[in-house]
Amino acid sequence: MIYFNLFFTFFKIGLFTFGGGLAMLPLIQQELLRKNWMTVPEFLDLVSIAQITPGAIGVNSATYVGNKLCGFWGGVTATAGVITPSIIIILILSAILIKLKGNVYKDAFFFGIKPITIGLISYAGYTIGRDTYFIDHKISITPILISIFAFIILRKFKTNPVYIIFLSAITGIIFL
Amino acid sequence: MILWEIFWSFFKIGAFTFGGGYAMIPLIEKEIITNKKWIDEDELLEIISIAQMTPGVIAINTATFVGRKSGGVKGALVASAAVVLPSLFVISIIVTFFSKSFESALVQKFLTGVRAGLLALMANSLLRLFRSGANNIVGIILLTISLTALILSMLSPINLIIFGSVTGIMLYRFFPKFTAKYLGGGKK
Repeated sequence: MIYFNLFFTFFKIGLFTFGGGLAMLPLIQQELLRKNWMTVPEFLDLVSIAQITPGAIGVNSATYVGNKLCGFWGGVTATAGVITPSIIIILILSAILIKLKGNVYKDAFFFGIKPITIGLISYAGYTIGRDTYFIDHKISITPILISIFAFIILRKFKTNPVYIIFLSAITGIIFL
Repeated sequence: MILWEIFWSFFKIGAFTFGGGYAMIPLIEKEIITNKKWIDEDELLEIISIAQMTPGVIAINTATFVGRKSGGVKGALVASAAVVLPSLFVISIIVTFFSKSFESALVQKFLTGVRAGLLALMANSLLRLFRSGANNIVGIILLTISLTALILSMLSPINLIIFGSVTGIMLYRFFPKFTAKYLGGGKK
């Protein structure tokens, strides 16, 4: 029964969140507290762990809650719940978009939306930059240097992003 | 076997994405566009646009869509499953072996380092995306409006998306000749 409950709780969360994992957190908190699945301090642990572990924040949160409540398979169930609406909706939308291939109004729609999307990605970069380069309202030089070196290495050697992440993490641990 | 390649690519993408949907763009560019050539930059921009305006986790929406383009419906299922597997393993290990929260100084240093590297990757990705999606006067104006409105918290992402799509369609409706030059990423 708890597995069904987990699946549908996270299915609902996945279906009604717009704007990705961070937007999902208030909804997750509400559901968890309402069902007495977690306390507020436990939820705050969830938020920090979901952000520092690899993977999407929404998926990490679902996995964490499921795992806490009923072990590994609970994690699998909650994760399956949160991603199922995405998979269904995207499969339907992609089928429609393939049908609309070459339609000028579809192209006009994307022509207007693409710059907005780039703006949203730039804004995500801006907020990450603000949190990374400014610590307690003071400019922090080391992360800026890491970014500059990473950028130069990336442009010069076309290094795989995986190595860039790995190297930056190690540099951070050593020099920060 | 393409499904196996999709699985492995998205497993790597899931394992090295820190911080949600947009953080996976540089990895998708390297793995799916440059290495495998399953989609191009313009398609990725369309996919992310759709991914952020539909409900659910942006990373999963993106993975499902890229998987669909790369290997059909099976590709979509494989990509979404593969991108969540690293989360399942890592979180299970953490829940089982570490009970206290992760606020240690070491973890903070690790995270700051990762984010500094991620910012370099995102800057590089943005340069590529500008060339593909904001390579004309309309695009530059829309991008400027969007970024300004977000920084000043004037418009929500949803309102901006509606604004952009209406602008695109209206421009085509009233200035078809001018707009047609830029449609489909300017490939026509």
